[in-house]
Amino acid sequence: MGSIVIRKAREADYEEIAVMIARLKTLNEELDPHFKVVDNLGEEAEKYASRLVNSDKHIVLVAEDTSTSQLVGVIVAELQDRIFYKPRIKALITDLYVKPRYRRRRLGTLLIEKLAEEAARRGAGILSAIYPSNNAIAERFYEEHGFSKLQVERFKKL
Amino acid sequence: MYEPGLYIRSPNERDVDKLAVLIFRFYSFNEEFDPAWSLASNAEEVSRELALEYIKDGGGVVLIADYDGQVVGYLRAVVRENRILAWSKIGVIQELYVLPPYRGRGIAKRLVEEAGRKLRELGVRHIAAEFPALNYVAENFYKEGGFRPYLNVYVRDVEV
Repeated sequence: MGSIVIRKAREADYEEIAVMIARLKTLNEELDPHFKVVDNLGEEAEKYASRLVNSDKHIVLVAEDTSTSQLVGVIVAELQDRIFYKPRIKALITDLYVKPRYRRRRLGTLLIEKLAEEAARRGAGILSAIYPSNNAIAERFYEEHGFSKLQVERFKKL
Repeated sequence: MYEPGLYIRSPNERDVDKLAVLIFRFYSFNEEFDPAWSLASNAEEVSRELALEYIKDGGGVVLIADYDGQVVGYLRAVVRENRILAWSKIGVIQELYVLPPYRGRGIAKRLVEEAGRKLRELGVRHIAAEFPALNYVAENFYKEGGFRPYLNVYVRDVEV
């Protein structure tokens, strides 16, 4: 395992990003059947990733293992305009994933920190994150990183 | 809980592909909880080899949950022996998995009950379950099923 760099995602990264996004969604499926993934998850993840890397409304950072040039982590945030509230611009983290064998090396922390810098540079006054309420791994991670509860989403089946 | 259409049975050769998928999904999920559980790059292939072994092997207990003709879950337990102990044999559940859409129907519970019966026939007094320390899904499941913490296993890299 070589040294890891955090950098902005490039267009050529989309396939590797898609694999990590798909793994994250599959993990969410394991933790709560209400997040049952679609049958063509891989395909949708690739479409999503290629849209993201070309979007000016998103920030996508990746962690790259410089010894293998492989991507080992990703963070995605969407820049939102909260038209009724100040500060207006919020960066909402929708995806954060580090490959299992690269865990416990504080890559998640590093991704969050770099993302926060980039989000602030792009005018965001708040950084938030959304994840399934059953995902205790995410819950603990964000609590440890000083994130407070902001709003609640409830649902019922139709 | 009674689930019509649910049938707990031993796997046979026709179940290889389905069982391989379940094994792979079990390990992919647990991989998320600790880097020591990281999977080999050929883990999918190995899952198939394991499925074949589990079907042939008589060394432990392997059960699958057949739900309306679909293989939706499995359990694998081994018997561990230590002859200095009064109850020298203990059954250890090493793998237990139910596909997410089939959760919440008591399928895993039925698998554990049936495994308990089989293990008793093998001369076992206690049944234990192993899972990654941070897998709270498994932890909650076993606690609800009357299991108590029994053995701590700590891990670190060989070189600190």
